[in-house]
Amino acid sequence: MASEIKMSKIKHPKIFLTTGIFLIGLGLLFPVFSQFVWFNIIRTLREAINTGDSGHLILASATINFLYAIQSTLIFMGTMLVIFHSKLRSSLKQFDIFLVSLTSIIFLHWTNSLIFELPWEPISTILALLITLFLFEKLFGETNSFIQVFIVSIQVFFAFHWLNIMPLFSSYRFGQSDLHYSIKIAGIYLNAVAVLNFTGFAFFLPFIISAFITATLFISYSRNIHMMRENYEKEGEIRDMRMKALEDRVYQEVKSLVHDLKTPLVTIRGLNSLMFSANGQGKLEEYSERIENSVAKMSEMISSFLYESSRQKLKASELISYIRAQLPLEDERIRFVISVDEELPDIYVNKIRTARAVINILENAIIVPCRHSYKLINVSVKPAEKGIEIIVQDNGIGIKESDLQRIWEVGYSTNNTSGLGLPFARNIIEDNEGTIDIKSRENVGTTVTIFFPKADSLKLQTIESRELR
Amino acid sequence: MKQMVFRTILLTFLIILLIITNMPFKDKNDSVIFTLPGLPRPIAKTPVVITSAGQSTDTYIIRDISNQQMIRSFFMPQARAADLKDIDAIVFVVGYSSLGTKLQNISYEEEKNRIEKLLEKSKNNGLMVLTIAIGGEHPHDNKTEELLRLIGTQTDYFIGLRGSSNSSILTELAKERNIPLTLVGGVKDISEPFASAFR
Repeated sequence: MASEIKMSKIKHPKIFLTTGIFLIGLGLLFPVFSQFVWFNIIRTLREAINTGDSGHLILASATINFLYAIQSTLIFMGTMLVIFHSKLRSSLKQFDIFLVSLTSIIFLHWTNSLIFELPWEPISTILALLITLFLFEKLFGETNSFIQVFIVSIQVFFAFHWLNIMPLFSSYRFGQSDLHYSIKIAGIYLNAVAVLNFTGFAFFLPFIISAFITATLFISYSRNIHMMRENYEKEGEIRDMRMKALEDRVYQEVKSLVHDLKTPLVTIRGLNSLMFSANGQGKLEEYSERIENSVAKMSEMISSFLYESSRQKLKASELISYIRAQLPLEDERIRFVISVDEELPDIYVNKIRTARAVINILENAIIVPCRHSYKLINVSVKPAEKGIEIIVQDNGIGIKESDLQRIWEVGYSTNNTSGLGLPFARNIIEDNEGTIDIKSRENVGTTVTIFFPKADSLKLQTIESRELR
Repeated sequence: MKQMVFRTILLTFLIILLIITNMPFKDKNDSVIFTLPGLPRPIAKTPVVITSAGQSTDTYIIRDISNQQMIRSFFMPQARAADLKDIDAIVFVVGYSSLGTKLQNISYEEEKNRIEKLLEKSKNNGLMVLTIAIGGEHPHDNKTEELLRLIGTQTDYFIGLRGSSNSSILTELAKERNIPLTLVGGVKDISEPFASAFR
């Protein structure tokens, strides 16, 4: 059935209403403005009879049909503009709007013929009007564009008026007006009946087909634009959501760091109070040194986080020790097996951030569901060609082949988590010139291999860890 | 309920409008009418004035037929009474065209007035009057009918198109006044009866 015409917000309704009334007036007065063209048609007809040339008949036919089509289109467009920008649109149902439109336009044509004594063609006009209203409902409902409606409607009106010059349809009440009848009579007299019939069909069929195709193309185009706009908006929303999620993740990391800062602060406070109470007992130097170490550690942590590009040359074992200190080793359900090779080259990384990245990988291994009685997580650090490999292997349920490519997408998760940990970890590892690779087998487990190049193979940057001032 | 009433009123109005705008034209009188194929002997001499009654383009067809039949004629679509000198007959080609009258910058009343004067002059001068009606398919052609009845009072010979709305009027007038009537099947068939009026 007919689609609902979208009740889009009407901007400047008064302007459209005025334009509609103007178009109706223009349509009604059109015969007055174009009088000289109508007179030329009569002259052309006379010429056709005088010369016996049926070509003049075709010319006269084309002119008259064009004039009638313009008039009908003006009245139609004006009426539809008035109806759709008045209170009628909101107060009437679609079928009633259709009836009102049909009645108004027929009435306007009829009164116009009475006032200006220019006969109109009721049959062809009404048929064209029905088709145009049908196309209008489909087209305007989708595109809300009167320009497109105009392009389609003028084709329909022009097509149907060609039926009026065809003697074939005279018995069906087509072409009953003065000029159309004169054309047909002249055509019969000049033995041009076949010419008129053929020409009529030759114009009617292509124009009516073109009108339908044009309407269809406009509708498809409008739907495509609408879909593209929706997709663009959705992509924008997704982008915003991902950015927000990433920002939240960074904020969480900052919170975690700040939390970690409390440990050396507690040490400082404790030692300070000891210093106060141990005054003169010869332990001052020792306590002071330990305070200094804590402060240095704090400074290092803060700097590492503040200055992402700041890296240090450190032993792999040092990194692992830092990481190990943050693991829940007391949880009996999780067994960590950590093996660190002895002959490991130094690496050149941002210690705090790299540690956070590896801890993210370990957290994933911890939370992944497991079908065994306990979770086994193997962490091994081995030398590799030109660097070291940190391999984290778990006995969880693994990751499906189809999900393996998507796990790096921000927001994508197979465990109802934020889906930010892996992308975050990869960013950090790659910032430190490392690589990360994940292999997994369903119901067997997942192996994450992180590679860091050895410090000697890199050009050492002069940026050192900055002191917190 | 209100909407039902509104819809009913609207539909009724629409149907009435459709009926009015497409009122069936006058009875075409499909009954078999026997008419003369042409006049058995001429009733008029040439030259003849061919004029329009209503300013339709049909007049030009009759002029062309006249030329083809080599009938001496003066073609004056807007002939005046003063133009009827030294002629024996006048041919009225009846068919009202609103655009035709506008083109000649005359109103219908002025056209009717002109016809009346021509008829008066014809009567005074004893001219033969031939009336030809080709058009008249359109349903509300009251003006053509009016002109036909006006001219029919003095016509000596009717030629019309069988099946057109005028054929019934011509038949009626011909019966009333016992005027010879020829109804032809097509426009080109007018040549023979037209020529029969002169030779």
